[in-house]
Amino acid sequence: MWRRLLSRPSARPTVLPWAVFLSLLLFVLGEGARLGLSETLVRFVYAPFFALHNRISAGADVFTENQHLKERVAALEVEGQRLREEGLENARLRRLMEFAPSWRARAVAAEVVGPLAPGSGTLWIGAGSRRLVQVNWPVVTEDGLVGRVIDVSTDLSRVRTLWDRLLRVAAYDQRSRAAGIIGWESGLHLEMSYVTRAADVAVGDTIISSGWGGIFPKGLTVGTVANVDTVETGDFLEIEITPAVRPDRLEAVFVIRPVPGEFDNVNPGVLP
Amino acid sequence: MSALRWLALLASVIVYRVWFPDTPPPPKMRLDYDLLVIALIGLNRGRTLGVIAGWAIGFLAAGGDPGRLAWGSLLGAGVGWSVGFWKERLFLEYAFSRWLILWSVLLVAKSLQLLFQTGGDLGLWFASFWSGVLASTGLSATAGAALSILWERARPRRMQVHSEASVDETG
Repeated sequence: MWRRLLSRPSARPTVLPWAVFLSLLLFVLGEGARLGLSETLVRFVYAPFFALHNRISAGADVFTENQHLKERVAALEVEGQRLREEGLENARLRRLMEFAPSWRARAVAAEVVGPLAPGSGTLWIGAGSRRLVQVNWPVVTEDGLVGRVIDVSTDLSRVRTLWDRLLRVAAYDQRSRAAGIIGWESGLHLEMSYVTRAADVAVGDTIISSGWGGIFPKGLTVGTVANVDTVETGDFLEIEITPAVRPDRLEAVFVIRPVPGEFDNVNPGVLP
Repeated sequence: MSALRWLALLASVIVYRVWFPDTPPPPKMRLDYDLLVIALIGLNRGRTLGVIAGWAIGFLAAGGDPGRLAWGSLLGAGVGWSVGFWKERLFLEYAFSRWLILWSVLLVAKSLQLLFQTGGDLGLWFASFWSGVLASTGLSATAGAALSILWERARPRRMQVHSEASVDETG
C-alpha cells in the first residue's frame, strides 16, 4: 500500500505543464483579450443553450399562465352564474315590490326546498316561524298565486298549492267580474266551478282572486281561461284555467303577510 | 470515447451551468457537475485526459466571466491531474477509495474556488464552507463514486462483446 503510494508515476507524456502554461497565458493576457474570449465563448457556445433555456422557460410560463387563466375563467363562470341568479332574483323582487302595495301586505321571500312531488299537492319552503310566517298566509310568485301555508315549523313551512284537491280559491273574471271557485282535479290545468251559464267568460280572460274567502287577498292572478265548455250538462259552465304559475318551475316564492283588518269585511270560513 | 461523446459531455456541462447558475456566497448545497465530470474523467481515463478535459471544462465553465477564464481552466486541469494521480496510487477496487479520492480533491478544489469567489474574506469563506461546500462535496463525491463504478462495469462488457464478435467472425 505505502510502496504504491510513494512510487513514481509511470513515465508518460504529461500535458499538465502545457495546461498550466495556457492558464498562465490567460492570466497575463490583457483585459481586452480576456473579454474578447469570453464574448466569443458566450456568443458561440452559450448563446444557443441560453436561447433553448429561455424557450423552455417561456413554454413553462405559458403553461402556468394558461392554467391560471383556466382557473380564472372557471371562477368567472361561477361568478357570472351567481350574478345571473342574483339578477333574476332581483327582477323577481322588483316585480314583487311593484305590486305588493296593492295587497297592503308585506312579502317574505323563501326558497322552495321541497318541490311538488308526484301525487302530492304540497311543497316545502325555507321560511318558518323564525321569520314570522303563519298558517294560512298566501304564497305567491311574481306570476301569481301558488297556495297557502298549512304547517309552520321553525325554518320550514308546508304550502298547500293550487294543485291540491283540498284547496279552493274564490275568484272572478277580471274583465266581466263573473265569480266562481277555482279548484284542481287532474293535470296541470285548474277548473273554475259554480259560474252560471249567463256569465260572460271568454277564452283568454284573466282570473284573479276575489278576496271573499278571507285567506287570499283580492287581485292575485290565478290564471287565464283556456277553455269554456258550453255543453248543456248542468246549471254551471265548465271552465278550464291555465294557471299563471308553472308548478314545475317553482324556485322562489313569497309569503304574503296579511295586514290586520284586511279581511274584516268578508265572512271568514265561507271559503278556504 | 468518440468525438461526439466528448462534445455531448462538454454540452452537458454547459447545459448544467445554464440551468443551474452559480449562486453568490454563501452557496447552497448543489451538485458540482463540472468538477464532477472532470474528476470522473480523471478517475476513469487517467491523468492526461483528466488534464485536457479539466482545462477545457474549466475554461468553458468560466462562461462569460473574463476574470475566471484563467483560474477556472487552471483549477479544472488541477482537478483532472490530481484525481488521475491518486487513482494510480489507491486501490479502486474499493468504492470507498474512489469516494475518498473524489471527496478530497473536490474539497480542495471547491475551497480554492470559494476563496476566489469570496475575494479573500475568510469569515465569509468559512461560513460558506460550512453551509455549502462540505455538503456539496459529499454529494458530488458520492455521485461520482457511483458513476465511476458504473462506468468501469460498462466498459469491459463492451470490450467483451467486441472480442466475442471478432472470434465469431474468424471462427
